[in-house]
Amino acid sequence: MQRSVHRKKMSFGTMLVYIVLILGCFITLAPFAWMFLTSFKTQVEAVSIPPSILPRHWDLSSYLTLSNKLPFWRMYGNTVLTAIIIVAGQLTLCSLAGYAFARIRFPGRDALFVLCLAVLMIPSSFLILPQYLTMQKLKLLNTLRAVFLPNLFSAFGTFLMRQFFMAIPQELEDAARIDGCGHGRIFVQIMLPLVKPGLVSLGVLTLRFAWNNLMWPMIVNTSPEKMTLAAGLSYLQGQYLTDYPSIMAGALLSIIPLIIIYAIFQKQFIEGIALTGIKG
Amino acid sequence: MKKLLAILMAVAMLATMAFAGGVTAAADEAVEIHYAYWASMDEYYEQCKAAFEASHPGVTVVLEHTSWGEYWTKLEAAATGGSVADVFQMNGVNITKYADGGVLLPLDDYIAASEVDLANYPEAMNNMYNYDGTQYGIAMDYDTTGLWFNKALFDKAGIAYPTSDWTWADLTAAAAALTGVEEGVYGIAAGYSDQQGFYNTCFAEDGWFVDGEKFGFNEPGTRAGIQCWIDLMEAGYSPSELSLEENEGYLQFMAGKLGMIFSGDWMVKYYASEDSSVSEICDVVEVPLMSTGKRASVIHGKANCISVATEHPDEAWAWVEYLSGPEAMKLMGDMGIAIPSYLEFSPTFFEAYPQYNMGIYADAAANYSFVYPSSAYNTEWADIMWNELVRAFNLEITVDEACDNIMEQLG
Amino acid sequence: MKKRRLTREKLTNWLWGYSMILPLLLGLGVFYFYPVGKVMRDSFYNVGAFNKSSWAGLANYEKMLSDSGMWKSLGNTFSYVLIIIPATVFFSLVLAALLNTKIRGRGVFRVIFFIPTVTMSAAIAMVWRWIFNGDFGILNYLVKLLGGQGHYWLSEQATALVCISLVTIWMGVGYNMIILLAGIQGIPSVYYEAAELDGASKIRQFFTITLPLVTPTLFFVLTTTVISTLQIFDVIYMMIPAKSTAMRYTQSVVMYFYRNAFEFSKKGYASAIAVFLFVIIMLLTLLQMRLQKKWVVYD
Repeated sequence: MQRSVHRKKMSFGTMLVYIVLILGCFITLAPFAWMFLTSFKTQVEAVSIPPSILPRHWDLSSYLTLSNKLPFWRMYGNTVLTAIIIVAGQLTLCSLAGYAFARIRFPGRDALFVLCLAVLMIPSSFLILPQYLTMQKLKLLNTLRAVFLPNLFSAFGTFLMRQFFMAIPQELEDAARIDGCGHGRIFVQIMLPLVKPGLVSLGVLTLRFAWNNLMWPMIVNTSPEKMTLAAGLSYLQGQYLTDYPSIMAGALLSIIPLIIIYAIFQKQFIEGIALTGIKG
Repeated sequence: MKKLLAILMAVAMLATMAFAGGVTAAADEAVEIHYAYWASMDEYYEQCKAAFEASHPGVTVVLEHTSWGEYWTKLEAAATGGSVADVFQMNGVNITKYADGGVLLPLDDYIAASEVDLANYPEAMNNMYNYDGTQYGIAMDYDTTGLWFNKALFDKAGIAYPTSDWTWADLTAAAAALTGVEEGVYGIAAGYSDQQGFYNTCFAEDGWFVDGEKFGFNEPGTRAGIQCWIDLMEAGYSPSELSLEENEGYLQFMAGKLGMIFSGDWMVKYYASEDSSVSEICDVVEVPLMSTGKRASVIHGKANCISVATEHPDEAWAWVEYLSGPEAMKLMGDMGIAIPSYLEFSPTFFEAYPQYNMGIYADAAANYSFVYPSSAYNTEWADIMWNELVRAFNLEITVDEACDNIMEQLG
Repeated sequence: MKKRRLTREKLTNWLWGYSMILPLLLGLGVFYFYPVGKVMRDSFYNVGAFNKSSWAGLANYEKMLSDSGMWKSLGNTFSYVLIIIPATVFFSLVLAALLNTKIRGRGVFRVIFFIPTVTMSAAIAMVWRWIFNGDFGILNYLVKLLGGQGHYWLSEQATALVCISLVTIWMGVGYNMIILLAGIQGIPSVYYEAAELDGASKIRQFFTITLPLVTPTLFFVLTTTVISTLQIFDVIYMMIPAKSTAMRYTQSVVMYFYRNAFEFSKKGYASAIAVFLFVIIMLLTLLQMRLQKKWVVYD
């Protein structure tokens, strides 16, 4: 599939490409180097002025603070659990609805689809208060269920999955139909395997969102035992002094799984998007 | 394909289980009191909780710490839905809004029936949490303001340390002498700061800010109390407003870049810390006398309030009573966390920092304190004030122009 | 007989269709449509602290017309769109094109460029605040080294909004690059083989083949970034304290909504702002849908 011409020696053009890419990497990674160094400073040194580049002494206390002051691993577990449920839930619900919107004719389908799309255009912060009151009526405040429940339903995911299902040739479905398959079997046995790249793409995108969601878990939950990482780390923010070293340490520890998962799936992820769909 | 189906089934089951999980929580006999707070005082509260639960069998305190950034958003959402914590921390800016909103349990009957005597707490603090003649909160700590100075810089400039006789003119002269004594050193932080800045000087100049629906920005004293800071700024004795926003005054002071700064007592914990470069060479003195021959310090403090929606008002009150009582108050001072509002134990906090002249904070509370300005109009007037005055501190407009604008917008 | 069967088949279809979207619609209904309805209702009421409300008619909307804060934040929001969209699209496209060449280590590059998009914004914001710091920042250090003059980048009117935009671009490029890269890889290789035979240079190939054929993906990227930039909030919330001179120059419509709803307890007015922004986003999206016919190439 790759089209570039291979050359044994590095041409000027390739060199330029490398220079641009490495420059890009530097800009991308430099702030992370700063995060890493800050995570070994003391709380006051991290905000002292002028800033020190290297820690005065390499201090591990920020990493210890994480597990002493917070139920850090519990939060980690909560993050993993809610992220898995959100990803699984979205994959299920969005592929079901996406299939129906793409491949089944029924009255009101297009109107309902436009309604779903409208959800995309609403900033989530507009809805925090009414959503909170809903969770409260459902008596779900301060539970892990409150964290994932509203996020199981995604207009974006439905939109994305619909694009994938649309791209599948009609002949495949017709053939199955002649064999006497109903929608249930067509969906599970023929369509789902074909949209696997799509499921991977949606999975990665959803995972990234579920992992870093800050405001919502913060608002619906109170006890640290029910917090996800992104929200839980904000306990380290003070009114006057913020424990930046520990926040940096926690942030660094929290992105590792995401980077690994992305590294594993990136090829399928890119293929997935390439195969769609996103062509309107 | 069976595998995919199996996965989907598993997901569905997982979701169902998650739903069913909490429904069966049995009704316990033990009473749970939820306590919401923002201040970073976890260790202190853990100790209070342990002692309280030991003396109140059957009552469990659940501590709910929320960071300052999200505390008020969350408290309001919770109060709106009626699911707010039984007991929660309150401050002077928000008390009127919450009392007026009918969210708080009136405490007068509980106080009368208990051993709590409001006379043990600063009068200003009692008034702050009294709305329309009803007491809604009991103060847990109080804060006043003092003048901190960097002795090494004073020595270098060859001038005498500040004293309790100092006037604003003395302060200005010292700021002039200190500025530039080392590279990048300024005399004082004179940026926009209310509680640790112009509120104090305005009250000393007989100015005022808000009284019910009326605002005092036309008062000559109010304007004079702001102007004195702008004069320092214009003379170049202070880092610019923008500099002080990006690198707050207390951080610059800790770095040895400022000769003087108005600071609340809670800052001592940072000034004294091992990472502060001034911990051994700084001290604190009363704020200077203004043109009226008076000095003033604004007083503010946190309080504990009870939700009107609590199902266990008696237990909630017991927890508030405990937090305001001798045992918890002494502990607060001994741990060096904040000035206990229980006057008898206030000195315990000062004793935690014997190297500094901390007693001036108690003098301020007793002799020349003014209540932190607050109104049912709440944050909006403070925001309008900020919007206009910050332009004066940035030297874009004059104090008179800023105050005229504020009065115009507050109608 | 035949007609009956057809109807039954239709009915089965309908049943399948409805039951497959039902779970999603239920969830969206409870957690999105109902709240949206509530926001729309509130925009016609005075809603204060703790949801105490009284009928206001069109007063909230009328107030919006004469509220300079509202117009300033709307202007800021459009400034964000004008800076962020072209830059994000440009950098993502360049990186995607470069990473599509067969160079060594491109898998590593792809992972590296994606990292900012998965990192918690609170931690990132603190780092950038240090970089831009007017007294001790790394940026000023470099600028002064080159003989330039330092600035309070995050506080001054001329630069604050640009700095916020830069951070947003930094966080968004990796994500859009991946999507564009996927789009480029979807282009059939025969086009390139033909161009190769004609002796077209790489750069020429980019402009004559890649660029036109990636327009459908570009359209997707453009639509979603316009929507998300109009909703910009997180980075401002993290980087600009409420009491900062720069708040005036940087606050977006969503930020202004947030402050009205939660800081000033004016939920009715905030709701009107929300409805207004929603209408703007919808109009712009529809406009883009219309315009796509003029520049997007479908095969």
